Amino acid sequence: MIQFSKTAILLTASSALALGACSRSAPEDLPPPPVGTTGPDTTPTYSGPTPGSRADFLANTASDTIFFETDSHDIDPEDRAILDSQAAWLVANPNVRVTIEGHCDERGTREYNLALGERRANAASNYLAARGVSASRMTVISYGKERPIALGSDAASWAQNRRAVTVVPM
Amino acid sequence: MERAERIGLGLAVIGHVGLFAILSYTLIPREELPRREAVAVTLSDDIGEFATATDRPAPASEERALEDDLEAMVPQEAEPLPQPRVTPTPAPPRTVERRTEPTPRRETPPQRREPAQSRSSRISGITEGIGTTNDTGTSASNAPVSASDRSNLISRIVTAVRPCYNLGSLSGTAAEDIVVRLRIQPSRDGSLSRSQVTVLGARGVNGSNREYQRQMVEAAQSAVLNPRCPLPPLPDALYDNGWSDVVLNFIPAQLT
Amino acid sequence: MVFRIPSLSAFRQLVLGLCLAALGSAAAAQDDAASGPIEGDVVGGISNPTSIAIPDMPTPRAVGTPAGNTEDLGRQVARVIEDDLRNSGFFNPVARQFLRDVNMPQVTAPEYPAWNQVGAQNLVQGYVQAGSNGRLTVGCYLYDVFAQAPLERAGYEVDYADWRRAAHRCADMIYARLTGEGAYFDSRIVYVAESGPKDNRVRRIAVMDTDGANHRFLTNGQSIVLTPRYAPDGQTIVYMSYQNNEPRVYIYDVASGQQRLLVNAPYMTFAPRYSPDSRYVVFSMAVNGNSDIYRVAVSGGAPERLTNTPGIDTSGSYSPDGSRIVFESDRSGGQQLYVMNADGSNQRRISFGGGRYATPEWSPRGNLIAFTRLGGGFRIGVMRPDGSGERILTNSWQDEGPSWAPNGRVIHFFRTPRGNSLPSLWSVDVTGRMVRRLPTPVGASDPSWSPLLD
Repeated sequence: MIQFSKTAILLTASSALALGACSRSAPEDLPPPPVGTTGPDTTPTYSGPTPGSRADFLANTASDTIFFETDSHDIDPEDRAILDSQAAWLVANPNVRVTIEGHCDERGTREYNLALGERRANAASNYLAARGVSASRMTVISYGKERPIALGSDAASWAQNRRAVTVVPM
Repeated sequence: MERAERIGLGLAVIGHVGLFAILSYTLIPREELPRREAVAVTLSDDIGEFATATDRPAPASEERALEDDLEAMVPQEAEPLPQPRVTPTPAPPRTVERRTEPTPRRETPPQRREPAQSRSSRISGITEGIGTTNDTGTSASNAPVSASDRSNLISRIVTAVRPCYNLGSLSGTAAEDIVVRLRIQPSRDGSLSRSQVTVLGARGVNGSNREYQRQMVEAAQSAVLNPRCPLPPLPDALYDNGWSDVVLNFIPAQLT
Repeated sequence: MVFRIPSLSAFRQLVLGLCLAALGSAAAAQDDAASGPIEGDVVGGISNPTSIAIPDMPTPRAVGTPAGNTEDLGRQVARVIEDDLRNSGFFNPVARQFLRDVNMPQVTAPEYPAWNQVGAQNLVQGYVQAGSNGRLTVGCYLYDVFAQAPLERAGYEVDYADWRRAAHRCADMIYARLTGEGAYFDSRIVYVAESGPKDNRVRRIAVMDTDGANHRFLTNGQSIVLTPRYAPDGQTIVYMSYQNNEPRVYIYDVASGQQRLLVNAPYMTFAPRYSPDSRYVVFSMAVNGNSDIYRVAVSGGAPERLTNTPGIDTSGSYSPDGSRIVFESDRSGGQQLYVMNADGSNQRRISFGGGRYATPEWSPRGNLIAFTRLGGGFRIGVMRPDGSGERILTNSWQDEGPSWAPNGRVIHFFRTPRGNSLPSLWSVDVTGRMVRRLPTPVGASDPSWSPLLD
């Protein structure tokens, strides 16, 4: 038996909406909001990285993306350095909520890759949590192999697609 | 078996294989006629005395009672065109009696014999064709047909039928464990109709292929009734006691 | 050289058969002047499509209907039957220019010699008639031309708009009678229609008849949709959607077009499959990096957890009697196949080959499990439920997602080429023969067969 709190559902929903506002992960096809909540409005209206914005995040962290070995969700030292910089920024911007996307290369079956992507996103999320970022600020979502960034069918493309991306709202 | 006998038997076997290679070779012209065109196949026309079975006319008078097996496998006769039906018509009920009578494989125990003698008889068969010694061209007689002629007849019949033993969808399935035993009793003119085909049994039917039994029987029946694989011209003198009564075991399994 | 026989192995059989015949006759030679039938073995069947003639179906009275004139429908019904039988791979319909006109009396009294002349082994005749009740009746008759005998007959009454279904049912009757297999033409396929480049792909749930007709999109492509499965009762489709950017399993009602969430959880739910009685859905849920298998009643209620391991357990699929579930798990290190009782007890591994095994689907016959095998390429294979008898059926860069036809003889899957190309639907016979592409309007993945329609 499993019980899910209403707040958890609402948090998830609002986080998802925040994600929906992010052009990177949800291109042009925003679904209509199903519930009476709206995502945080953090749209910047002036130039320069607004503190707490995505641009600010990208400018002040090593990267928004970490990469994984084939069929692995292990965080290696390089990933740690990136995630440490993300954690530092998130600690400094305690009101920002993020979504962590997990992705896979195409050389896995669809359903397994959904699970594997979720595992990768959680690996990143758990690391950030250990570095002091509240778990309640982070939402994970797996896209499996459905949203590659590199389109080739070769080892270099697959390496780029095995990733977890920390997405800050625009 | 003594050494000389073994050698003799070996020679006999080799000679026999050669014989069938030659016989098969003689069949090539017929076999290479176009077989996929959707037109009537014209088959060997040359041997006036032995009518070919191109048209396979139904035998005029021969109406034997069929064995139970065949009876059970023949669907009900069609009724006159039904008036428009308003509900799906189920298939007419049919009771398929399964007789899994064991089909003894033809296995003659090897016996001693004179190698030289049998070889010479075989060689005459090679050079002069089937039944030369018996084929007097006269009308049918009840003269006994020699064992070598009988074996030559059966191999020619098998060679003719086999290209039409088509398993189709049954190939590669558990149906390939089913061996169907069929008896055919062709007319003297070489023609063969369904009433001259009797199902003697099916062997190897089990829980995993039972649903294919009927189709396996029909694949064997179709092989002998297919107009593209008529019986080859066979000597009239060897009809009685020879090819007037033939049992064929259809063995789908791959030989390895 | 001797005969024109399709395969080398067939030729080898012939040679062996001749040798055996030679040995047999040598052995029989000493028994001169034998009596009784002469006897021999026909060893090694060939495997060719059966020649079958499907002439246009006459109508007793040409009548206009909403679906067209009955005379024209008679022609179209014959063509649908012809396409179904040809696409099965087991039949070779006689080219239409060799077919003869058939009048009503001949429907039940075939001209066997004439059909023999065109090389047909089997003959399908029938008629199309408009009834006074506003329905269409299709009579369907199957004959054995060689044996000059009727084999089977049936009549189907349908609404005019469903005339293709009458043709499919006629084709099903013929297929079942001549192959010994169950029917499958009169069914539908649900799949994921894919369009656009890899990094911005639009995915829509679509349904179509098994021959591609009556194609329809069920979703509009705004959200990613994946892994649809028809309920065994054909009333609903279960699938996964990223609606609201929450990847969750939904149930779509075919009649009403309404959909609803299967489980209201703050976690990703995925890999749904119906139980054979359509009352349960087995699915996976990912909780904090750990995916396990659950089941939930379609009518509602709390999910019940069936697996509990740290690894990824997913792609559960019921046995046709509902007593067991096959699934994949990487608990041993890589993806392998496991079987458990429907309550989650007695989990045991059944696949032990090299590489990884994924997406198992239990055959509706119960005797086989289809799967994707990874290692080198992605290939579709089958094995018995105890893991024995593994056979690989396809060989390509990336074949995955097998789904069984209702008769357990044909498997659909999707094939993805290398590079930035769209996947497509394919079918393969369970013997590994007859790999065939299914035409779809756009790219396609995740096929799932409906049950036979009523």
